[in-house]
Amino acid sequence: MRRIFSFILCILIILLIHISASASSGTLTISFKIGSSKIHINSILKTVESPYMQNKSVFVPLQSFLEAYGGEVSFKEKGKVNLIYRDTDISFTIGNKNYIANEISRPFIVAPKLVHSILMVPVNFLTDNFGGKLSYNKNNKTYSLILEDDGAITDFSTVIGSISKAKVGNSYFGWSISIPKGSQLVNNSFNSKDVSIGNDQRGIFIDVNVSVDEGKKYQDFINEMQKTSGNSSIGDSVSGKILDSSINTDTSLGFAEVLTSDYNSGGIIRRIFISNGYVYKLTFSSIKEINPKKLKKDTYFMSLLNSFTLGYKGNTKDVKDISKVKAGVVKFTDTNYGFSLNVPPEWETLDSTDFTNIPAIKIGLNNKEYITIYPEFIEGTTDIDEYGDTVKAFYNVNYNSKFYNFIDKKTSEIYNKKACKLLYSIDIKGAKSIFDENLIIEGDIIYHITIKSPEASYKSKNEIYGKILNSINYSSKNAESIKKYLEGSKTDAVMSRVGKDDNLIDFTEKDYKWKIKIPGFWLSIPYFEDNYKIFSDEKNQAYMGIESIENNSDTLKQDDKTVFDTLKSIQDGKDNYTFISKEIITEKGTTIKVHKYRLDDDKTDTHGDVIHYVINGEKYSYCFFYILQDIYASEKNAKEIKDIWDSFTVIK
Amino acid sequence: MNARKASISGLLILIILFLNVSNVFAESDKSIITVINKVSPSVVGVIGNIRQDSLDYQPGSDNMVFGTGVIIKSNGFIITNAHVVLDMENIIVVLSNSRAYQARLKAIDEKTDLAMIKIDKGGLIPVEFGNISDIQVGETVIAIGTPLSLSLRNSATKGMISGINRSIQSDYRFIQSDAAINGGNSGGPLVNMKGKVIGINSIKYSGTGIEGMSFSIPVDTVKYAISQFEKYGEIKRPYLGVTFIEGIAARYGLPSNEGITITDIKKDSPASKYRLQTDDIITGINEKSITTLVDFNEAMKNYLPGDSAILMIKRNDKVVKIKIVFGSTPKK
Repeated sequence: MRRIFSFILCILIILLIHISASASSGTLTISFKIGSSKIHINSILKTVESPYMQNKSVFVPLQSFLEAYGGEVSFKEKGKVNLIYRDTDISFTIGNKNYIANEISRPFIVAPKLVHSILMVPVNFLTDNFGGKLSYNKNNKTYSLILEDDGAITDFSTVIGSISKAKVGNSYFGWSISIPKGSQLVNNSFNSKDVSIGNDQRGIFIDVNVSVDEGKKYQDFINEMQKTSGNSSIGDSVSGKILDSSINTDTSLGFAEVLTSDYNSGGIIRRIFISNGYVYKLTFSSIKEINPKKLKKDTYFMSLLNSFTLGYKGNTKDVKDISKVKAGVVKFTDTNYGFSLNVPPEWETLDSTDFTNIPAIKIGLNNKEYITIYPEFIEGTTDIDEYGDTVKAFYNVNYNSKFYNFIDKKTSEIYNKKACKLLYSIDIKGAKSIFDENLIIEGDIIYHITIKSPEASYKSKNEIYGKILNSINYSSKNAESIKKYLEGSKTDAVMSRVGKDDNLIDFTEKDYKWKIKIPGFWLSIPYFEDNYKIFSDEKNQAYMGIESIENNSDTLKQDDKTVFDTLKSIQDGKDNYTFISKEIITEKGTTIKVHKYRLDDDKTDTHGDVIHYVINGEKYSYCFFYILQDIYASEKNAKEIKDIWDSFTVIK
Repeated sequence: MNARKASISGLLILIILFLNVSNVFAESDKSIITVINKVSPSVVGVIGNIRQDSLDYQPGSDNMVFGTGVIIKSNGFIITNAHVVLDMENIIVVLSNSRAYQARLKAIDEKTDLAMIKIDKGGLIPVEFGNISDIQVGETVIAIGTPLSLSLRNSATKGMISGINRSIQSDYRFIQSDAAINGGNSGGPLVNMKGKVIGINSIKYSGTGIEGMSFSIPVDTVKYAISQFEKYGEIKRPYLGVTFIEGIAARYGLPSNEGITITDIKKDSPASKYRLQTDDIITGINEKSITTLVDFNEAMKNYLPGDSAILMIKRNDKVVKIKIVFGSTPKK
């Protein structure tokens, strides 16, 4: 009775125990016997070519065993074998004495053999190259090939950006800082100048931005922040309201400190350090405390903030080095045109918008030193040398010889492709720059790859510029879509032309009673107010418009700056405009007021006079305005604009 | 003796009760559970970062992408959507048992929205594919995936097949169902009640905000892509060098024998070589009727560059047969 009871209890216990599937551990066990085609891969039976013993070597079927590991076996060409498992890539030809493992030739200790068309290899070949341990059980004559480490990942930091170390640093720009545990590297710019670290759980965010020291003082930075504070429409504006600012010179490394409070970002403490030719902007924000003055009393927060130090050079155990600088350069890869190039780490992406709205790659130190890559859709061009002549001829006619000087044209090479180099200088406002322009054909697109450099440093930096040009690589991955985009832009431009050909056309504005004669290649730019007519000459970046205002007793008495939006929007000393003069002339049989302003925008490299002619008609008054930049104010272009103005007629 | 018999009977009853799992679920729920349990071990999460040179890269964001994949071979070959892994660096696959492995991209095709990735892990359980003929409108299907967050790995949604047609943007036939598909379970399997994979879900073609309308890549397209990936590392499409438009009736899904009209012929293409003309209407290929662009693309799955075919063409109200040899898509 007891025996039966015990027997049934055992069965129950066995039934009650839930045997879970084997996959929870990563260990692989392949069990096999010599001469038997039945093997077990983690207890799962499989039939393969029978392993055998020869000259004390155990031979196993390569494909079955390596695929059990999780490797890849391919026989792309007859007799050629390729194996991939984790970081090991092996190739060989059956019958050869050697094999190549990760580009290194190694001899087969015992050569593989074909048995019934199945490739058999000594088990040592597997264990030596891919891991695993072979053991033998004499009792049941069974071999076990055990692979304990299956390559499972436990560290996800490369994907989620988690930082496991206590500190983060940049060995090139020389800074380091302690970070809260569980932080993520949210952003690291291509040059590692702009780094953002976030810790969602603690609500703390850290930004470190490095720029080149241009001689500004701490007070200048504070003043700039106070000017832009809370105005998100200004680039580099400081978000939120500034509550306090100070300059700290008590410590060995002085800094400026600004406290702000922002509805979205919380309490923010900013510190600026100037050292070693760089300006370091450190921003610490806490979404859990909106008052930065309270943050100053938070011991933990301040311990992190105060941990920021300079002088980090890398290779420190507890610091994660996030610098992307290798051999003194950083790699920039553009998302549009398929170019990649190595540039100095101090260079960054610059604003490249201009009249044409075709985005250009522009990377540099500032607007005085940069490289730009700009596409032009020119169907059917095959000779880059000839095209170079076309570009040179265009510059000679359209660039103002007062500022422009052509230096040389020669053949060059960029990513092993023939290019045409044009060298010229432009000297505006006493700042002479050298332009090293390289033209290259890719299908129906000509790329203008241009380095701009101050003349004073062009020769001494020639080697650096040469290295930048030599590092350029191109991928035609997006070529089709770029071509379609450029074709589309060209089509849009064609549709906006005022005339079918380039000849002068009569353009009449019936509603507002004026007319002009204008070359057909000028574009009419749509504007939401119908009393405005805007025109542009894209190639010469000239911009012209006519604003019409209906006369009444008020408008005829008011100042032009009150009547016309065009003049209202320009203020002396603001947005890079300077008032030059206001005068009265007599032309077209009437009195005309001429308002002259000067635009000098170093950021966009736009320099030129902005002229407004105000003329009163019977029913309407008009403001005819234009800007022709200094560099484009060649004799031809200046005459063209003057002729358009001369043709301006009020219709009675 | 009676006490002994009673003890044995009692124990036997206990065993029987234990062996019969109490039937708290309805028969259909049990089937769904069975299907999910069967297929889930073959479904993986796919996670990675968008490369910095990608158009979708956003500075300041973590730039992580989630998707789902399906194990197709025991040594770690996985099928997922092309859009999940396109521009992804550092692809990581998470198995249903929570173990994660580095993956590499083996092949990708944006037109079918399919990609093959590989992890170096053996002993995996591949899915069983069904056949296109198995798919019936009205049948229950389950979409298995990792919706939205990896912590919801291998979640499942149930639906019904609404039709086998195409979504607005696709080149090929698609399965339409109302099994909810979102960004996380895109690339995962659409499974029938026999536990067979009949489609791969695609958020790219499902769009957002359109409830009850999900699209999955049907199994015949999946098998076609896998076969091409394995042989060539890509899909080698036969190239004719023409642009087509469909007839108006076909565009509305109405019965039509109109064919597809050539509107443009590329220079030096097979079409120009065999003197096809603009306004030629292709009505068939090797006796197979063609009325829509999808028909044409589906038919092209049967051919490789270098293969020949006889095109049935209507030209100026006359029917002509032209034998052509397909070329290879020109490299950019």
